[in-house]
Amino acid sequence: MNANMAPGQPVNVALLGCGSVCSIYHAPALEQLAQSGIVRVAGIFDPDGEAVARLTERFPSARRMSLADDLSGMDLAIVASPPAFHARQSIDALRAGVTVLCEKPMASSVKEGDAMIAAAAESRGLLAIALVRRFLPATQAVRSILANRMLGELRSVACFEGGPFRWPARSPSFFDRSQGGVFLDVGAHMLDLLVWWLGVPDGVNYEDDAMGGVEANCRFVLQYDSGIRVAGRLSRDWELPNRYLFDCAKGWMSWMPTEPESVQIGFHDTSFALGAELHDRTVSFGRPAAGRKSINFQQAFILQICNVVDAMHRRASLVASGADALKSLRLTHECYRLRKLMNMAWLTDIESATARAEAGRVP
Amino acid sequence: MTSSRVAVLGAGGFIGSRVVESFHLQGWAEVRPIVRRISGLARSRRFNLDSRIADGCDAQALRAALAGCEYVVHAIAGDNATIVGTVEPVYRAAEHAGVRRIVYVSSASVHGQSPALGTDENTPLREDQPIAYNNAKVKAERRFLRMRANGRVEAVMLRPGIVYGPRSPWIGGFANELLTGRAFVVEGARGVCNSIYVDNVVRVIQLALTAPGVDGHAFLVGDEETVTWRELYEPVTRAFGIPFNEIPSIKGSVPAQSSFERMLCFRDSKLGQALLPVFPLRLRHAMYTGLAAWLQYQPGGSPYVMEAEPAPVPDLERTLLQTCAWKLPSDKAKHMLGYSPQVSFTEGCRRSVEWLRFAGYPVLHRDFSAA
Repeated sequence: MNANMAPGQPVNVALLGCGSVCSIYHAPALEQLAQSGIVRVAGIFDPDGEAVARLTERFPSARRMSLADDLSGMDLAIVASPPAFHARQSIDALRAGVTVLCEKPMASSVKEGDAMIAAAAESRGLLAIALVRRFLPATQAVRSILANRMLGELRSVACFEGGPFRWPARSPSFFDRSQGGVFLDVGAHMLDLLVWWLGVPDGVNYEDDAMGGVEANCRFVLQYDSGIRVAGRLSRDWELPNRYLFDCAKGWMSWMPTEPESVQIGFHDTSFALGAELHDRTVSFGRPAAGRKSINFQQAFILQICNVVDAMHRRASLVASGADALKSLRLTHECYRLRKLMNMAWLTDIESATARAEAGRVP
Repeated sequence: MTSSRVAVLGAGGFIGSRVVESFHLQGWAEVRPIVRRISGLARSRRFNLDSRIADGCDAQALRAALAGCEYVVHAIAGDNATIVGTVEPVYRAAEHAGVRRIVYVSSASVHGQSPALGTDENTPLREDQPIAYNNAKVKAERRFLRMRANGRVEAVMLRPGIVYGPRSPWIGGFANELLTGRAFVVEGARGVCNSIYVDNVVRVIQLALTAPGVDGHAFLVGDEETVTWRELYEPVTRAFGIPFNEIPSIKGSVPAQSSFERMLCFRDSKLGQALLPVFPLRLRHAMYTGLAAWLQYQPGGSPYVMEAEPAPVPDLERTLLQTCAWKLPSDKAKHMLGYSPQVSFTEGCRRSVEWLRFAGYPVLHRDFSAA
């Protein structure tokens, strides 16, 4: 627990970065938690004064912070600034004795990620990463089904996420190289889930379509010594069904990120498939039963903050710690290190030659 | 041309993104992609280019975005209001920026989806066609000509037919229908498909930007070959291992307009545009929403009736397209622009299927020759 935090008192939260992810996801979750007296948004920082003003309307008692490290009186910092600032702001907060919930991707490089974890260790602070999908009932169900081999041995996974890009980015800098492309963005979630479900792979292949800028498409293969093969595809360009498909010895399972409250399960020896909606487990007449419908995507943001607050009070451990996130960050950068240009067979010979030359210049 | 700066409006779209990709990778010009909103940068920011944000209806933003450009490619897609509403702001901003020429990517749809035999650029255009998109494109062309009559920026209109290739809805959309069991064709898809591979559009845009003596002209452009819709679709069906003959073929009909469609037509008509502002926006919105919900309402049926897939119903556009009997000529473009399709239909289909594979579709076969 932070030294200045009293039990039973609301946790004082500083919001660092007032972009879309903050206004769309974190702020509504914090509003709910503030009503319950669990948190109080006490400070807001963003270089964009208008963005700060918009959030201050929602949290009138919050003070406008002149600097990101102006954290006096804060217990928890939610770092939702552009990824290039994640490490600096998180480390400053940790050194000030403030717990950190940092947006994904946790950092722009593995070196930065290492430094964040070192800062957390040195300060004996808590560093959580906003890998919110770990809080979804469906991803937990997938993990449990795979771990218990309920469909037999897993053979392969095929996953696709993306479509024409619609995220309401506030600045063209969203597409700067420092922010990475679709792989560092949505890929942070995809890789985290895969590592969480299956462990760190033993081999990787990766290719994308960045030609001097940031990738709109990428494809990767993760190979495990057990024989499991994962084929991943991400796009900001064209939409196919957003889906994770698990092929197992006895059947298959599918999860769609657009439907975080359900999974589909089929068996190789039947013509039926289960479209399973997830419910909280309950007891009825002394017997186990499906209770109320499980949480939705938005409510997962509430649980994510609650988990950090519980960890601050030593009532729980972090569901997604910095050390957890570093595994997938390492994998991301290993993929970038191995990157090849995707084969775009519609390009002419001249275009392909230029594309290869420009792709080679991507750091 | 490499020293010239070409602004591409609608750079995030199907045609615009390929123009950016091709002009840049060929080194043909210094390209400035312009998109309506930040999220539209996803495709063009694969390259290290000077991209800008400007809504096609926002003259002030366009002025800043077009500054320093000599040429403009207008490839903005959108609803009918956007099609018509972007002409004047784009033209005025181009004039302010000292742009030499705008090439407007119009559409062969100005002549309808099933043009009469003998149709060419001399055929009079109509603004009372049953498909509102066609009328919007006609209005946009006419508005460009009016602007040109009183302005300094040259304007050239291109009328491509069915533009196919990577990221084309005609390819990707049909692939989606096939893979979800919703595909069907009208009367065997034997009608003429006025196809043009997207790179042939890019080529004719290049020519139209610089060709002398073409100011104020409109050009129909297409592939060299005369092909049917079946010939366009078959490489896609073959790629997925689906025999073309297994796709339901239904009789074409020109469906009567529904009440809702009639209401939308009224909304878009001159009378509607004059009268509707009298009603508050909320009331109008509630009216559209309520009527749409009522039209979709289906009362419950007998529990003994086995659920069946609803039979496909062709809309007017699909019916007209797939029963088209006329290959629109590209003669004027060949004569005045020096247009010659660089990519054959077969090669265009091959590249389209390769893109399906790239995009993640389950392509099984890469045999592009006719079965």
